[in-house]
Amino acid sequence: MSGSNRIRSSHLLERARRLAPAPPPGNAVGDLAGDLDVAEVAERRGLPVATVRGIRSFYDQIERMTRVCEGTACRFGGGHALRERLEGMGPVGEVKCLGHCYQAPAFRSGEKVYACPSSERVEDWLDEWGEGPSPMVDLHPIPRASLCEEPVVLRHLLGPHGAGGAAPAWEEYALPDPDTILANVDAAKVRGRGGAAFPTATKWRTARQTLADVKYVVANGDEGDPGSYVDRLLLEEDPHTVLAGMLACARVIGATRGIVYIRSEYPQAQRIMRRAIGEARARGVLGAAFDVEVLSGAGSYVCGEENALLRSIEGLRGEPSPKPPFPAEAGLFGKPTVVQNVETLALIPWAARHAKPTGTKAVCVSGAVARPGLVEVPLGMTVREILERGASGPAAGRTWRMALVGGPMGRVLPVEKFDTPLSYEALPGMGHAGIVVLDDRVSPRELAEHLFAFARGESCGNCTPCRVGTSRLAQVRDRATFERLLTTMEEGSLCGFGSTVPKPLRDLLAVWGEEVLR
Amino acid sequence: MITVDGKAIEARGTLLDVCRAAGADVPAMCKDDRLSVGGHCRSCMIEVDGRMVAACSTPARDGADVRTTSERVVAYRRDLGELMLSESRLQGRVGQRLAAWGADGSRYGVAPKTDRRDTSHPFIRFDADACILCRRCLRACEELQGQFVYAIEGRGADAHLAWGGGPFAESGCVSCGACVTACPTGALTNRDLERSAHLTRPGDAHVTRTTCGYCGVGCQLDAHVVGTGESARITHVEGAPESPVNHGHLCVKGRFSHGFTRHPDRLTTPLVRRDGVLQSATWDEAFAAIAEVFARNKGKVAGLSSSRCTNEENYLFQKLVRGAFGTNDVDCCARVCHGPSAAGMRLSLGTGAATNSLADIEQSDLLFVTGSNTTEAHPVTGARIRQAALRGTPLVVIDPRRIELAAIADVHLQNRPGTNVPLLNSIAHVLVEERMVDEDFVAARAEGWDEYRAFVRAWAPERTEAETGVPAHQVRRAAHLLGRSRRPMLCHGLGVTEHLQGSEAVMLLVNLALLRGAIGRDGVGVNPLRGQNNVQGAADMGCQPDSTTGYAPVDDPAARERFERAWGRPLPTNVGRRLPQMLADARSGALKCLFVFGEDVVQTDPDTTRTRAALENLEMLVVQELFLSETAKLAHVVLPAASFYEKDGTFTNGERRIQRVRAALPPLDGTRPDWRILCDLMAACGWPQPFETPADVMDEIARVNPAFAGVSFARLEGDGLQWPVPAADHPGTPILHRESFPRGKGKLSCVEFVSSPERGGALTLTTGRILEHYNCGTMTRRSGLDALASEDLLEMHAVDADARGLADGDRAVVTSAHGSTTLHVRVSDRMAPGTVFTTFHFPDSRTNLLVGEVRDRLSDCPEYKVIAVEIAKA
Repeated sequence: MSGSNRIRSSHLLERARRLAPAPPPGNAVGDLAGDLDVAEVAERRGLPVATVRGIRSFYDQIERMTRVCEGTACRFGGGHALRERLEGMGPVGEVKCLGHCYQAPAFRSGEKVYACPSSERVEDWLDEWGEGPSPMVDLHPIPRASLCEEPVVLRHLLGPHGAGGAAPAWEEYALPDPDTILANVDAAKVRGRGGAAFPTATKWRTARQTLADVKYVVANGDEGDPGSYVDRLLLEEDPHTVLAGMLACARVIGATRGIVYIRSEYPQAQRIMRRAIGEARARGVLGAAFDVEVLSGAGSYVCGEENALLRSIEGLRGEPSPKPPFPAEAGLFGKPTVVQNVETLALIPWAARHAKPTGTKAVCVSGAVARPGLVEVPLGMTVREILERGASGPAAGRTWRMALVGGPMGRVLPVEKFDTPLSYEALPGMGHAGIVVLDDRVSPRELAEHLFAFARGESCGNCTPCRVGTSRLAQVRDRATFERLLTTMEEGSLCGFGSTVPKPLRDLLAVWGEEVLR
Repeated sequence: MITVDGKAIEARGTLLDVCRAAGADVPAMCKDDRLSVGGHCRSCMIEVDGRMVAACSTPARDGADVRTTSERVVAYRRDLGELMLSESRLQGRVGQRLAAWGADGSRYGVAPKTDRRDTSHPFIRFDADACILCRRCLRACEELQGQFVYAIEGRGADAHLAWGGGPFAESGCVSCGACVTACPTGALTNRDLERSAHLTRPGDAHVTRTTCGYCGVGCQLDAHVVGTGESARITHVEGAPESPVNHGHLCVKGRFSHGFTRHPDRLTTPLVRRDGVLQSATWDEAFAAIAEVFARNKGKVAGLSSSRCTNEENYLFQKLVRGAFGTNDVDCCARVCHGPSAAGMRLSLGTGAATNSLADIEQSDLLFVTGSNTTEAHPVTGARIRQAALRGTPLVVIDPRRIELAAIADVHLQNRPGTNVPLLNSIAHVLVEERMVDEDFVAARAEGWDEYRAFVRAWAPERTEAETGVPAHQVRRAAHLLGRSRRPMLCHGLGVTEHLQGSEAVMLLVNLALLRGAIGRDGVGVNPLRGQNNVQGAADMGCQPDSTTGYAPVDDPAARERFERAWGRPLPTNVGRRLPQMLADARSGALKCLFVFGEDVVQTDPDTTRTRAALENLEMLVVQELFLSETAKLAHVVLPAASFYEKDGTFTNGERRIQRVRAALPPLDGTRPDWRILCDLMAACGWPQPFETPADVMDEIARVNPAFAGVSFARLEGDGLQWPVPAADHPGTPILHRESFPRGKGKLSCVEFVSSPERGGALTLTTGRILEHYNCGTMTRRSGLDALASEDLLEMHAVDADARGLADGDRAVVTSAHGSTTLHVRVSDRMAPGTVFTTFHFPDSRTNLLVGEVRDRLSDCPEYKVIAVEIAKA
């Protein structure tokens, strides 16, 4: 056999282990985000300087500056005006999504996030600023609602405490024995909610069967998709349920260590999760048998891909790598690792007890709706019903044109098709199913350009079809060439990023044809 | 079974493997079979059961229907080619390949010419326009060399190959060239090709496989040559991918140091000293002069052979000295390097050679490296050890300097120079006291256990730490790693041998191996990393005063008679002079004639002042050389020889592997191959030899040396043979001593510590080699490697530098009891306070002026590694 699909980071990590046998907690990415310079990080982590420079250049949120949100809801919800206003005050960078889509437009300055109190009155908001945006410090809690009989994802978040005040869900830690957990998760047909919808029990079984001295459970809190903030809600308001989901996984696969990877755009979620881990340790549910730490991203969408995420946890460039090997066989530091999205983890303790499908999906609704927010719906409810009942229909004076479902690698639905049921079968590729509704002020070409910019900006550059393809999308005007390019990216890209960038673009083409390319 | 384009084939390995096995032409631009899978270029996409998959990273599964030329695949390739053309400027083979896919730049445009390049490095050039970010260079650097020079900077379309920001020459690159061989597009190129571009004419090039002539690793290389006869030139050198020694890898010397072959300094005519001046002469005049003077001084002549030359030449040389000059006064430079390894291992085991093979590095579960800066002195073996460590194999390093291997070691015992004996005894103490001894092996294969066990009791690491400077807990940790390993392999270098107790320290390493049962099976052994390309062979051929070819003792009548019969000459019966004795006798006048064959004793032997005085006192000094070396300048007759690139023969590497040397170039006009010179001289001495070719010489060696009985040039094609090869159908012997030792049982040696008189001062100088140069540098300095390192530097710790008011780059006077020289200072955290280091690659430095008379107690090897010095600002 020629060569092998070795874990790409293994040589670097072994070198690092040898040169820095007792590194401080954290990783090189965190060090760089924490303002250590390249040489210091190289020294303390046992990494070559060239490598650390490469890491530094990979993440786009390391440099602290005012950053305006370029997420879909913000971009088409007054983001331009916000950006102009901010540029009048100093240098402005970009951030792809701050997870405040229901309160667009938003921006970040240092550790603080500012968002418009009402999308209807962006100009008023900007006019109210004096020297700075001080009056807007108060952020709304994420609005949430349920349209199902038995909400699962939001099961702790709808009560009187709701909105940030829920008591720790200690009862979630009361888990059945590992065999029962696995059987019940299997019976509940849990699939990864991050987008790939891979059967969770299958992944766990592989990790369980792989022999190793150390195994890991990783919570993927790199919720990079514009239009999705369910993970942020869970991390900030129901962290113990997420931890209980990790503990369930750990018991099944025999893991002793867990990592909650949270994107740097969610500093509040990181703080709350750290505190929750402390509480869980104090209560004895986390500790010697299974302990968890929080690590931060530093600005890279692709780090949501599981192999990329693991490299990022290792402190390296968050680049995907060919599979096999799958993380469940050889993941973090080469050890068997289960990576689960935060929303998936939150429903695991429920599934482990109930052994039946939840039948629901938490859907983030943003954009041109009257009451944006998170709504848990029964799978199969139509998009229109979700928007009408869950978000009170169109925002005043707006006429819907289309919706982006599942983020910039999701699906585009024209308003004519809003009666499509929201389900994995009826809307394949809907991913996390967050809905950003766009009104008739947004042209299909504008949405396409927004998607091009996102793809180009977030492609990691690891493989040729995606690296070159994403940077050619905007320049192609000929439909045949464009579709060929989409096919090449779909067929050839190394990871799910490049291969699904074309998905919403194909939807746009199917509805609006050449208009998208002009 | 799996079907590839309709052809059924066994499903084994990846889809790419089965496609290749089926003869399907699947491109895989980022795939290098030596390296891990990258999956970057996506050119290997094929259609499998209706899905497009990457052949390079997908396992082949039974029953799959694979299409490599379907419409879908063809259309994909064309478009991928268009994307590549829009990003990079691709010419040559890659450009042709993309054109064959139908890509012509018409879809997404053609990448603009930026001319962004780096030409800071003398041998490696980077042209960004041609880079497709396949990362083969990066992976080659990490996975073949372990250097981590490259990284990707930027993201998405901004991603680009980088090496830390500065010019490439300052990147930490060790110039092994692995990246250049891995690059599929010509973004990284060997600058030798630029220099030889004007020489190249189509159809004119040819390739010769030969053995590298630098260190004792014995890398196989392919010399690419253009032109014939006088105009022939080496354009560039590549590693031989099939070689079990180097697997295609080379170091800076092997790959780039070939320019010396046609350097204008080459000697091209014999020289004879007339009226005090070396003047051109004919070969016949030179031979006649030698024959006459050497015959006249019978009993007062000696020969010094060359470990750089072939087995056949070394054989002929000692035959000349013994048979024609009638003396056993023949020695070689093993005397000043690994003589103690041969002596120590012979005393302990019975054979003075590596007990195992380099391939055991990958089989071992603990690498124990003592006194060897392997990554610089034996770079390809060093890279191999490094790779093993990066795969997780525990590594213990004993060295006074924090060398590269020490930096990645699990334990680095940084002892003071000259304290190997107490340190190794202390490690043995821990093994014995903590019962980490392979008792079955010791009982069956070793002798002296009871005495030894009692002896080591007194050597607790806590009692030696004051002497060695190594904290006892570190010694214990190293011993525990050794004691818990199942397959430890011990490698050592001149940091063990070039000491007052060099041979004895080697015996202590053998002790450790015996205690762990680490001799005579796969993955274990005692492996002296031989310094020169054929130092093993020079000894095997008999270039030493006590034994002739095949280690036949000269004072053993039966052995002597065997040679007398074979050679048809009476042979001397007494053990001859060793090299130091030769020089001493030259000084005293007891020796009148010395024939120095391919060695620069003035620059490389200790105590230069006295060496020079000895040579100047000779009636006749003959030097056979490529260049007018420091020694040749003193000669009465100089014979111009051909280099290893210009002759045929064999070298034997440090793992006893006899490998072919093949002429890539004809001998430079006016020179002759050494074997031919020696035959001609023997004829002039009245003893004509029957050899037409080096192969004929090897046939005679096979007749007189039982260990070579099965060796012939025909059998050495391919990977060569590891001696002993006792019969024509014997496969060679990668691992010695499987059943027993030549001396019966292995000897556990009790060695008391004798401190060198050079120890104890404020500063101790230790000397060695750097990566870019080789010994006295005659070849490397004339091949452009001086552009990478142009002088001998004095490395010292900041504490010692500060105390003397010295800063990086200052000139410092180094004074020993024997001499004084001036060097530039490099402040380095590789050094421990109290120890300084330099090299002896450059004649101007005259480093060996400083080295004194202390020698190994058993083999007379000079103590290059421990020199009491004082240092002051110049």
